[in-house]
Amino acid sequence: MDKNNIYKRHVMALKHIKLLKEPTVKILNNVLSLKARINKKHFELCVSLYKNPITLDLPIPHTEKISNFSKVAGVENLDSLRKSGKFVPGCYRIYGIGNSPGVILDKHYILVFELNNMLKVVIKILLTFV
Amino acid sequence: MNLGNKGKVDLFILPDLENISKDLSILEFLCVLEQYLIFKYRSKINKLFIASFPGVPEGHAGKSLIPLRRF
Repeated sequence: MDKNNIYKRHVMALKHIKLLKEPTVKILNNVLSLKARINKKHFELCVSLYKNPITLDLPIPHTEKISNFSKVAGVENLDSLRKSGKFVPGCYRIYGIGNSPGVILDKHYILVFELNNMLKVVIKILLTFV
Repeated sequence: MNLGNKGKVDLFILPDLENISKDLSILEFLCVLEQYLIFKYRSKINKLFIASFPGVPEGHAGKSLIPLRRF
Protein backbone atom coordinates (compact mmCIF):
# COMPACT_ATOMS: atom_id res chain seq x y z
CA MET A 1 0.00 0.00 0.00
CA ASP A 2 1.21 3.49 -0.81
CA LYS A 3 2.52 5.06 2.36
CA ASN A 4 1.12 8.42 1.27
CA ASN A 5 -2.39 7.05 1.31
CA ILE A 6 -2.95 8.09 4.90
CA TYR A 7 -6.69 7.54 4.72
CA LYS A 8 -6.46 3.91 3.63
CA ARG A 9 -3.79 3.14 6.19
CA HIS A 10 -5.82 4.83 8.87
CA VAL A 11 -8.93 2.81 7.99
CA MET A 12 -6.89 -0.36 8.01
CA ALA A 13 -5.46 0.45 11.46
CA LEU A 14 -8.93 1.19 12.78
CA LYS A 15 -10.25 -2.07 11.39
CA HIS A 16 -7.59 -4.04 13.20
CA ILE A 17 -8.13 -2.10 16.41
CA LYS A 18 -11.90 -2.54 16.34
CA LEU A 19 -11.45 -6.27 15.82
CA LEU A 20 -9.24 -6.22 18.91
CA LYS A 21 -6.46 -7.88 17.01
CA GLU A 22 -3.10 -8.24 18.62
CA PRO A 23 -0.33 -6.52 16.68
CA THR A 24 1.71 -8.66 14.33
CA VAL A 25 4.62 -8.05 12.01
CA LYS A 26 2.26 -8.30 9.05
CA ILE A 27 -0.26 -5.82 10.43
CA LEU A 28 2.43 -3.29 11.33
CA ASN A 29 3.97 -3.59 7.88
CA ASN A 30 0.60 -3.07 6.22
CA VAL A 31 -0.42 -0.12 8.35
CA LEU A 32 2.88 1.73 8.38
CA SER A 33 4.11 0.91 4.86
CA LEU A 34 7.69 1.84 5.61
CA LYS A 35 10.32 1.61 2.87
CA ALA A 36 12.13 -1.11 4.79
CA ARG A 37 10.22 -4.11 6.00
CA ILE A 38 9.60 -4.48 9.70
CA ASN A 39 11.04 -7.82 10.71
CA LYS A 40 10.78 -10.18 13.64
CA LYS A 41 13.74 -8.55 15.37
CA HIS A 42 12.07 -5.14 15.33
CA PHE A 43 8.85 -6.69 16.57
CA GLU A 44 10.54 -8.50 19.42
CA LEU A 45 12.20 -5.29 20.51
CA CYS A 46 8.76 -3.65 20.64
CA VAL A 47 7.45 -6.52 22.74
CA SER A 48 10.41 -6.26 25.09
CA LEU A 49 9.99 -2.50 25.52
CA TYR A 50 6.27 -2.90 26.08
CA LYS A 51 6.82 -5.47 28.80
CA ASN A 52 9.53 -3.49 30.56
CA PRO A 53 8.51 0.15 30.86
CA ILE A 54 10.13 2.52 33.32
CA THR A 55 7.32 3.81 35.51
CA LEU A 56 7.66 7.20 37.17
CA ASP A 57 5.41 9.70 38.87
CA LEU A 58 3.98 12.26 36.51
CA PRO A 59 6.58 15.05 36.34
CA ILE A 60 4.42 17.90 37.51
CA PRO A 61 6.17 21.26 36.98
CA HIS A 62 7.70 22.90 40.03
CA THR A 63 7.86 19.67 42.01
CA GLU A 64 10.70 17.36 42.88
CA LYS A 65 9.26 14.86 40.45
CA ILE A 66 10.75 16.82 37.61
CA SER A 67 14.30 15.94 38.60
CA ASN A 68 13.46 12.26 38.90
CA PHE A 69 12.00 12.36 35.44
CA SER A 70 14.90 14.29 33.95
CA LYS A 71 17.40 11.77 35.25
CA VAL A 72 15.79 9.16 33.06
CA ALA A 73 14.34 11.07 30.15
CA GLY A 74 16.79 13.94 29.88
CA VAL A 75 16.29 17.65 30.12
CA GLU A 76 13.60 19.50 28.23
CA ASN A 77 15.23 22.88 27.85
CA LEU A 78 16.05 23.22 24.16
CA ASP A 79 19.26 25.16 24.66
CA SER A 80 20.57 22.61 27.11
CA LEU A 81 19.52 19.87 24.76
CA ARG A 82 21.38 21.32 21.82
CA LYS A 83 24.50 21.70 23.90
CA SER A 84 24.36 18.23 25.33
CA GLY A 85 22.97 16.48 22.26
CA LYS A 86 21.31 14.06 24.62
CA PHE A 87 17.96 13.56 22.99
CA VAL A 88 16.22 10.56 24.44
CA PRO A 89 14.23 8.64 21.85
CA GLY A 90 11.29 6.63 23.05
CA CYS A 91 7.57 6.56 23.61
CA TYR A 92 5.63 7.28 26.74
CA ARG A 93 2.22 6.66 28.16
CA ILE A 94 0.58 8.87 30.76
CA TYR A 95 -2.24 7.59 32.88
CA GLY A 96 -3.94 8.06 36.20
CA ILE A 97 -4.49 5.57 38.96
CA GLY A 98 -7.37 5.45 41.38
CA ASN A 99 -10.50 7.59 41.36
CA SER A 100 -9.49 10.40 43.63
CA PRO A 101 -11.67 13.51 43.20
CA GLY A 102 -9.95 16.07 41.05
CA VAL A 103 -7.84 13.49 39.31
CA ILE A 104 -9.36 13.09 35.91
CA LEU A 105 -6.46 11.42 34.25
CA ASP A 106 -8.15 8.04 34.23
CA LYS A 107 -8.43 6.66 30.73
CA HIS A 108 -6.46 9.49 29.26
CA TYR A 109 -3.39 8.08 27.72
CA ILE A 110 -0.70 9.53 25.63
CA LEU A 111 1.81 8.09 23.27
CA VAL A 112 4.44 10.31 21.86
CA PHE A 113 8.04 10.05 21.04
CA GLU A 114 10.84 12.46 21.93
CA LEU A 115 10.71 12.10 25.66
CA ASN A 116 12.36 15.44 26.13
CA ASN A 117 9.18 17.10 24.94
CA MET A 118 6.94 15.30 27.39
CA LEU A 119 6.73 18.03 29.98
CA LYS A 120 4.89 20.26 27.54
CA VAL A 121 2.27 17.58 27.23
CA VAL A 122 2.01 17.18 31.00
CA ILE A 123 1.35 20.87 31.35
CA LYS A 124 -1.32 20.64 28.67
CA ILE A 125 -3.03 17.83 30.56
CA LEU A 126 -2.99 19.74 33.79
CA LEU A 127 -4.43 22.81 32.11
CA THR A 128 -7.12 20.74 30.48
CA PHE A 129 -8.27 18.63 33.35
CA VAL A 130 -7.66 20.60 36.50
CA MET B 1 -3.12 21.70 41.96
CA ASN B 2 -2.48 18.47 43.76
CA LEU B 3 -2.42 15.23 41.90
CA GLY B 4 -0.49 13.43 44.58
CA ASN B 5 0.89 10.22 43.21
CA LYS B 6 -2.10 9.55 41.02
CA GLY B 7 -0.44 10.50 37.79
CA LYS B 8 2.02 8.02 36.35
CA VAL B 9 4.09 7.79 33.23
CA ASP B 10 5.51 4.71 31.58
CA LEU B 11 8.64 5.34 29.55
CA PHE B 12 9.62 3.05 26.71
CA ILE B 13 13.15 4.15 26.01
CA LEU B 14 15.04 2.86 23.03
CA PRO B 15 18.17 0.92 23.85
CA ASP B 16 21.48 1.47 22.11
CA LEU B 17 21.19 2.04 18.42
CA GLU B 18 23.19 -1.11 17.75
CA ASN B 19 20.20 -3.10 18.88
CA ILE B 20 18.09 -1.65 16.13
CA SER B 21 18.48 -3.06 12.68
CA LYS B 22 20.15 -0.78 10.17
CA ASP B 23 17.11 -1.28 8.00
CA LEU B 24 15.11 1.24 9.99
CA SER B 25 16.02 4.72 11.13
CA ILE B 26 15.35 5.70 14.72
CA LEU B 27 12.36 7.72 13.62
CA GLU B 28 10.95 4.80 11.68
CA PHE B 29 11.46 2.44 14.56
CA LEU B 30 9.73 4.88 16.89
CA CYS B 31 6.77 4.86 14.50
CA VAL B 32 6.72 1.08 14.71
CA LEU B 33 6.94 1.13 18.49
CA GLU B 34 4.25 3.77 18.75
CA GLN B 35 1.93 1.83 16.47
CA TYR B 36 2.61 -1.34 18.43
CA LEU B 37 1.70 0.44 21.67
CA ILE B 38 -1.44 1.88 20.11
CA PHE B 39 -2.56 -1.62 19.19
CA LYS B 40 -1.74 -2.90 22.66
CA TYR B 41 -3.55 -0.15 24.55
CA ARG B 42 -6.27 0.42 21.95
CA SER B 43 -9.40 1.99 23.41
CA LYS B 44 -7.60 3.36 26.43
CA ILE B 45 -5.84 5.91 24.29
CA ASN B 46 -7.27 9.37 24.19
CA LYS B 47 -7.03 10.67 20.65
CA LEU B 48 -6.75 14.24 21.83
CA PHE B 49 -3.37 13.53 23.27
CA ILE B 50 -1.67 11.56 20.62
CA ALA B 51 0.94 14.01 19.58
CA SER B 52 2.21 14.64 16.13
CA PHE B 53 5.89 14.62 15.36
CA PRO B 54 8.06 16.04 16.83
CA GLY B 55 6.12 15.74 20.04
CA VAL B 56 3.77 18.68 19.90
CA PRO B 57 0.18 17.87 20.93
CA GLU B 58 -2.33 18.22 18.15
CA GLY B 59 -4.97 19.49 20.52
CA HIS B 60 -7.97 18.39 18.55
CA ALA B 61 -7.08 15.50 16.37
CA GLY B 62 -10.19 15.83 14.23
CA LYS B 63 -12.45 12.91 13.66
CA SER B 64 -9.73 10.34 13.42
CA LEU B 65 -9.43 7.91 16.25
CA ILE B 66 -5.82 7.08 15.68
CA PRO B 67 -4.01 9.60 13.51
CA LEU B 68 -1.11 8.02 11.67
CA ARG B 69 2.12 9.86 11.45
CA ARG B 70 3.53 11.24 8.26
CA PHE B 71 7.17 10.34 8.01
